[in-house]
Amino acid sequence: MTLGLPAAGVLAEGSYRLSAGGWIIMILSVGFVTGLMIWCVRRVLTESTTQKLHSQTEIEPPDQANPEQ
Amino acid sequence: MGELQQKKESWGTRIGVIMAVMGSAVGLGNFLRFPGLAASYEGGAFMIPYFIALLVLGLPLAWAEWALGRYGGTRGYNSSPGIYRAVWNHKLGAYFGVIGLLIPVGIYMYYILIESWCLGYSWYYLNGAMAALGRSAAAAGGGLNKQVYIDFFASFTGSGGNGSLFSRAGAPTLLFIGICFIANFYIIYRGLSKGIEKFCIYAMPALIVCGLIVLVRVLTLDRINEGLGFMWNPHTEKVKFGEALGNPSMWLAATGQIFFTLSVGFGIIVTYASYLKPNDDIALSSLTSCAGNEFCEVGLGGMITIPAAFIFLGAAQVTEASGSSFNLGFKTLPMVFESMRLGFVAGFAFFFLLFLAAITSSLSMLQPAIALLEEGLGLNRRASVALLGFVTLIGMYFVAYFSKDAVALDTFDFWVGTLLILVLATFQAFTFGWVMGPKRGMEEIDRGAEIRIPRLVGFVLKYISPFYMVGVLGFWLYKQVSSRKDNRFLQIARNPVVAMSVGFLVLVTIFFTILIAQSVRRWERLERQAAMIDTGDVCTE
Repeated sequence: MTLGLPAAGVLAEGSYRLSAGGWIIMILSVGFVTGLMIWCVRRVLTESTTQKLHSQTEIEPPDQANPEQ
Repeated sequence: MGELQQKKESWGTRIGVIMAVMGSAVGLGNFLRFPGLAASYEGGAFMIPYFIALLVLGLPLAWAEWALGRYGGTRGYNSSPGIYRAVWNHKLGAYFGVIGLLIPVGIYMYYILIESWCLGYSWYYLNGAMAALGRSAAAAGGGLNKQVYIDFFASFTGSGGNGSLFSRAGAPTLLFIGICFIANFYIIYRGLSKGIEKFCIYAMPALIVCGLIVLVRVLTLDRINEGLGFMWNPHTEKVKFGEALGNPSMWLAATGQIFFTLSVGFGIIVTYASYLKPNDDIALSSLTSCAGNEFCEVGLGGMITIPAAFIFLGAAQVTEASGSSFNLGFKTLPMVFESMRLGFVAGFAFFFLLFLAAITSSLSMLQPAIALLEEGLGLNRRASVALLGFVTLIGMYFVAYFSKDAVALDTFDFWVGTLLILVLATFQAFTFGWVMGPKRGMEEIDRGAEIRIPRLVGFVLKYISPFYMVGVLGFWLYKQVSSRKDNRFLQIARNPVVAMSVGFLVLVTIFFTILIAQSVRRWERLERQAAMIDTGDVCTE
């Protein structure tokens, strides 16, 4: 089976054009997920007080946690 | 401080844990499975049940899994057996954790092969091999020849015959598999903060940049309006919008997609969340990870794959290919990239994007088992990485050897990557809703939360999610059992490779169960020691 670039006749011209409903759903869907991600990332990055969790060096190894044991 | 309470590892930065969870969730399904599924059900109409499932089922279950993980982590456990044991306060809970180990490790055994295919394809776009393939196909006879790409995929993945990857012809594939395998274990060996987190902080933005490059190329194609129409129109000439919404199969498919895309029920989020501190936020972090995953799926995957394929191949070809992620991704899209101007750039960016999506997911699949080996058996990092590397190497060899028609891969994907995920997600929904309870559970989510989660989520997690999951699992099992043609249970008796694959998974299950039994004994011994110290008795053990 050979496939070249689709000729104009492969599809009925205009039969799959983006309809008004398609535009609305596409814009709402992509807009919602993009907006939600931007809002969340902005909240996370601007939350300076909890930005840093805890690094490897802040964790006490067992022998230093209680040296008298 | 007792041994159990001694945290061995933790996340370095907040954005790091979010990127790691997002990396775990974003995979090939975002760019291949979702668009194919949506297009097969009038894409625009599919988005209605999709977003309802996201809000009602996906986000609450993700919050629940983060909460279960942090709850177990604050009690000193990072592995799913330890976490479930802590939540249940019973050792039976630990044995349910075997599913939380088998899923990620079992998936890793075949996912690493798919990851290597993505790396291989991206390399072949970079060095011009795919362009040469396209030219030879065109020279063979007018336009592009799909058979050339089918043959290339069969040769590259060894799907022509069992053991063919281990012949001379399979050497390049084995090289890519080796690179991926070593890269995964090197990053895991570096540890949670220096390995996984550091890698994901760079890999996830790089993935989005690759996606945006391909997106720009696709949106500037001629007839993009029709490509987007095929993907996003909520109706076709045959099926009206209302009829599409009344299709129960579409609702089930949309629910399943939400469920798989967020990595809920994989046993990974519980492990990742267990490395948080008791007062670290999980509400906003979980939402951010889910939002990032949805952006990759809907914003990139939904705008790239199907519209591009439609423009060059037409409705019939796309419909035929969209039923299989492998057909769509590795046989159809290379034809599309070959057909477009600057297609080699788009092809490289797309397959490198898939590779990044795959490696950030495969990394997360190793951590749950590493956590058990370290905390349950007391092994150090080197020993636990070596032991897990050995186990996964055997599994990977098994799947790579029985490569004919990808039967072993498909069997692993069905039993571990589909059935067990549904089982574990159902178990976790009941654990949160009925064992932990919505009051205690919501208190856990609220602690340190930077956004307020609606109280309705507690109700949903107790009365809706668990039973909805049982319904989905039951319906799915019924469809499997009632199917004569594709009955997976009958295939075990009929196909020796399927039987061996299931047998292998049973052996891995037994192996992990023995490890859990040993871990439970160790945890009980340590708890007795801690109790004796608390009461002032002398510990002689």
